[in-house]
Amino acid sequence: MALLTTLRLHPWASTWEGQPGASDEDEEDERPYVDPAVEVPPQDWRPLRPPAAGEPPAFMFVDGVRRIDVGVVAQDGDRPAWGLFGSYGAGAVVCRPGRAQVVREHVCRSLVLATAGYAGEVNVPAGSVVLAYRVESVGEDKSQNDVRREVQQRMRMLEAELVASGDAPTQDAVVVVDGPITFLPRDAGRRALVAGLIKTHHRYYLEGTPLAPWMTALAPGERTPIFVVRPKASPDDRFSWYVRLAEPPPFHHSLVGIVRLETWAQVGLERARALADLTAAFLPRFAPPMAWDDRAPNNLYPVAALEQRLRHGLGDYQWVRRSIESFIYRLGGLS
Amino acid sequence: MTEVGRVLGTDDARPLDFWVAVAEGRYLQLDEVVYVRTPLPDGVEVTVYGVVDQVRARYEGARFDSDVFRAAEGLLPVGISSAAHVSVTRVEPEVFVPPLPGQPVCRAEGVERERALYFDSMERRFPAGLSRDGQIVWGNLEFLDGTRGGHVNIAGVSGVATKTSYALFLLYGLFHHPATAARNRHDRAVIFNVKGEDLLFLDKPNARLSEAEKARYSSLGLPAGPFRDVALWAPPHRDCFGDLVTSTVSRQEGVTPYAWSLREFCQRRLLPFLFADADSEASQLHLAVGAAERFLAHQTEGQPSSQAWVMLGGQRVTDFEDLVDYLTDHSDEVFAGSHLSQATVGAFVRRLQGSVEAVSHLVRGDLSPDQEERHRIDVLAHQLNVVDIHALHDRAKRFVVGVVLRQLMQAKDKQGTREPLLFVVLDELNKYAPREGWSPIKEVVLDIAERGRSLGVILIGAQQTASEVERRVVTNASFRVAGRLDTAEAERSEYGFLGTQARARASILKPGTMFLHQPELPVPLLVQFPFPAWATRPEEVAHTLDEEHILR
Repeated sequence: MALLTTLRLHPWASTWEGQPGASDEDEEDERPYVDPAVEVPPQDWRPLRPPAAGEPPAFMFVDGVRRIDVGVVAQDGDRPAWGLFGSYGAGAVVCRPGRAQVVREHVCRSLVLATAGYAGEVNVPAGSVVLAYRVESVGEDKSQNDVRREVQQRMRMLEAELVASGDAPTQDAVVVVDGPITFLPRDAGRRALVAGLIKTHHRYYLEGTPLAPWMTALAPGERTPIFVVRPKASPDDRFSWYVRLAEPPPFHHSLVGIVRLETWAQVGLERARALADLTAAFLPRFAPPMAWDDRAPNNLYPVAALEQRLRHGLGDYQWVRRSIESFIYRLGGLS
Repeated sequence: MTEVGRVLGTDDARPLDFWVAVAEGRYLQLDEVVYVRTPLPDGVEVTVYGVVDQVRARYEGARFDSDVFRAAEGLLPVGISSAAHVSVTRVEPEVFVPPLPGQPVCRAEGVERERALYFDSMERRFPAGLSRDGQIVWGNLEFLDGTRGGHVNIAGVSGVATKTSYALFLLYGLFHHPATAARNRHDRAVIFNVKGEDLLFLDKPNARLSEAEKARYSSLGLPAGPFRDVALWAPPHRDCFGDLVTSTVSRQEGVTPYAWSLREFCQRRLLPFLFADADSEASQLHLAVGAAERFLAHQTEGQPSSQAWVMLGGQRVTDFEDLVDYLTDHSDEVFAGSHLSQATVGAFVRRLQGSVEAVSHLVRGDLSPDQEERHRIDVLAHQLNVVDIHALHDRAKRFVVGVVLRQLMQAKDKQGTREPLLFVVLDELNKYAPREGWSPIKEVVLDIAERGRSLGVILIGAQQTASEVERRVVTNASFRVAGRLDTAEAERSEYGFLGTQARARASILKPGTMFLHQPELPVPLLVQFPFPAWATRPEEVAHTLDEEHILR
C-alpha cells in the first residue's frame, strides 16, 4: 500500500489519550420529543419507590474504552488525508450476589484513514508482540473529527456485539450498558432486560415542564415515572427514567447522584416498568462513595473496574505510541 | 515436568532470586523446589534451580483495602494474583543471567530435584531428613566425616526443638541406612544422657511407633527399629560395696556402672576437670589446679595398675575424700615453689572439698583391677554409647564429660587413623564451651572442633543459643541445624545462614522440623524427621512375646 509510506505523525490529534471526557454528547439529540404521560399522568408525578424486592438479580454491566494511540496524516495524491491509530475495547462484568466477574474482554485496533478503498492490516511490532491495526477507510470527505468519532463508534459497536451475542451470561441478567442504547440491536431487548445508563446530564429532558422538580426530589432507591423520548435521528421511541444512586454531599449540585436510564419502547410498558424498578432498587448498591472514584457516585464499581482493566488491556500508552512512531520511521524509508 | 507458573515481570528477576506468578489452578508452597530454563542467544540453555521461600496472594484491580468487602458482595470484579519468591540454589551451566519474565517455571521432581539440591553430585551421602512432601533430603557425607568438612551444630529452644532427637536420628541414619551402614559399621558414637533416663532405652523398639511413622522410615530407606549395638553407662549407686550397682531407676539390666580409680585420676591428670566451670583467665585458681595436678601425677608415677588406690607421701589413700584431705593437709608441700597467695590456695581447697560429695562415688580406690577395667567407659567397644549423667551434681557432670571427651581424644590420637569415625553428641555447648572464659572442657571441645576432623572425631554439638557458644566451635561445623528458635535469638548473626525468611519461620517450627544448612547449598532446607523408632522412656518399650508372657 503505497499510501502507507507517506504516513507522518500528527501529534496534536492525540488529545483523548484514552482519558474519559469524550462524551456521550455526540449521541444525544439536540431537542428530542418528550412525552411524560406514559406511566403516570403528569399531574400525578411523584418519586416512585419500587416495592420491597428480595434477592438482587444478576446484573451484567457492559462498557468500553477507546484511545487515540497516535494521530497521522497520509498524503493521498495531492490531498492530505487525516488518520489515526486507535485502540478500543469492550467488556462485560456479571455481578451476582457474592461474586463479580469480568466475563468478556475484547481489544481491537484500527488505523482509521480519511481515504477511500484502502483495507488490510498494519502490523506494528511492539516488543514481544505485534499489534495488528485494521485499516479502515472512512471516505475522502471526512474531517479530523469524523476520523476520531469513528473510533468511538467502533467501540460502541463492539459493546453492541457483546450484548447482541446473547451468550450464557446475559440470559438471566439485567444488562446495563454504559451510554445510550443507540448502537444496540433493537431485538436485544426482547431476550433480556437491557438498559442504557447515561451518567452525565447534557440534555435536560424535563426542562421547562412542571415535572423537573421531581427529578431532584428523588431519594436513593427512587425513580421518576417512565417518560417517552423520541430522538430525531432514530425511528424508535425510547422509554426513559431517572434514578438517584446516592445523596450528593451538601456542596454538590443536587443533580449529582442522578442517572438517566433508557430502553426501547418496543419492549412494552410492563417490561420497562420491571426494568425501571430493578434499576431503582439495586443500582444504588453499585454506587461508590466520593473518595473511591473521581466520577463517583455515577461511575459504578463494576464499570469503573472494567474500564480500568480494559484500559490496561490496550497496552501502555507511551510504549504503544513509541512503537508506532518507530514503525512509521522505518516504513517511510527514514531509517 | 509440571509447569506451575511463569517468571513475573512486575518485580525484578535476578540471577539469585526471582518471583513466579503462579498459574490459575496451580499452587506453590514454601520449600518447594522449582526450575526455569533460560535459552541464551548463543544457543546455550541455562537452567536455574531454586527453592520457594516466600509466597503471597493479593487482589488485582482493587484500589482500597475495603474493596475486599465490595468484592465479597459481588459489586466489584477483582482478580487474584498469587506469586512465589524463589531463592536460587544452582545455575547450570554457571552463566549468571536472570530468568526472563514470561518463562515457564516447573516443579522440580526426580532428577531435576536432585540437581537443584546438589544431591546428584554427592558421591557419598546420608539421609538428613524428609522434605515436607515426604522426599529424602540428603546430606553430603564428605562434609560430615572429615573428608571435606565435619561436625554438626544444632540450635534450638529446649523442649520443642528436639535437638537430641535429631542428633539420634542422624546417627541412626548413618548406622542403619544401606548407603552408609556398611562403610560406617565400625564407627562409634557417644551421647550423654542429661535429661531423665530418656536415652536408656535406645536399644528397645518403640511400642508407640505408628504405621504412618514406620512408613516414613521406609521412605527414608531405613528400617524402623531400635539402635542395634548399644552400650549403656551410668554412675554407680552411692551406697554400694563390693560390686558396683548402677544408680539408674527405670532400668538396671544391661546398664554398666562407670567409675575411675584414684590411681588413674592422679596418673592421668583428671583433677582439672573438677574445676571445669568457666573461669576467667585472670584468676590464679588454674595455677593452683595445675600445681596440684602435677603433684598428684608426680607422687603416683609408676604405681602399679593392679591397685586402684594411691600412695601419697608414704600414706595409703583409698578413697576420694582421703585424697582431698591429704591435699588439704599438705597444701604447703603441694604448692611449694608455686608462689601462690594464701587466698588462691584457700579458694582451691574450698572448691576441692566442695567436690567430694559430687564425685566421691565416681573416683574410687576400692576397685579390683578387673573392676577397674570393667567400669572404665570404653566408647570403642560398641557402636552407640550412652553415658548417663542426668542425676549427677553439676560439677560431676562436667567432670564426667570432660574426662570422657579427653580420653576419647587420646584414644583416637593413639589410633592415628581417621576411620572408624567417632561421633560425639554434646548438648548444652554453651555450658561446656561458653563464649567467655576458659575451662579444661572448653579446651577439649575446641580441640575436637579444630582437630577432630582429621582425627575422625565428629562433634554433633547442640545448644539453645549459639550466640553464647565459643565462636570457633560453631563456625567449624559444616552442617548447621536450627529447630525452633527464640525470636530474639534468631536475629543474632550466628543464624545468618538461615536468611530472612527462615529466621522468621524458625520461631514457629514444630517439634520434628528443622532447618538444615549444608556447605554446598546456599539456602537452608526444611527437614522433618520421623518419631523415634526406639523407646525414649520405659512406657514406650515394646516387649517381645516372651517378655509379655513373663510379665503376665
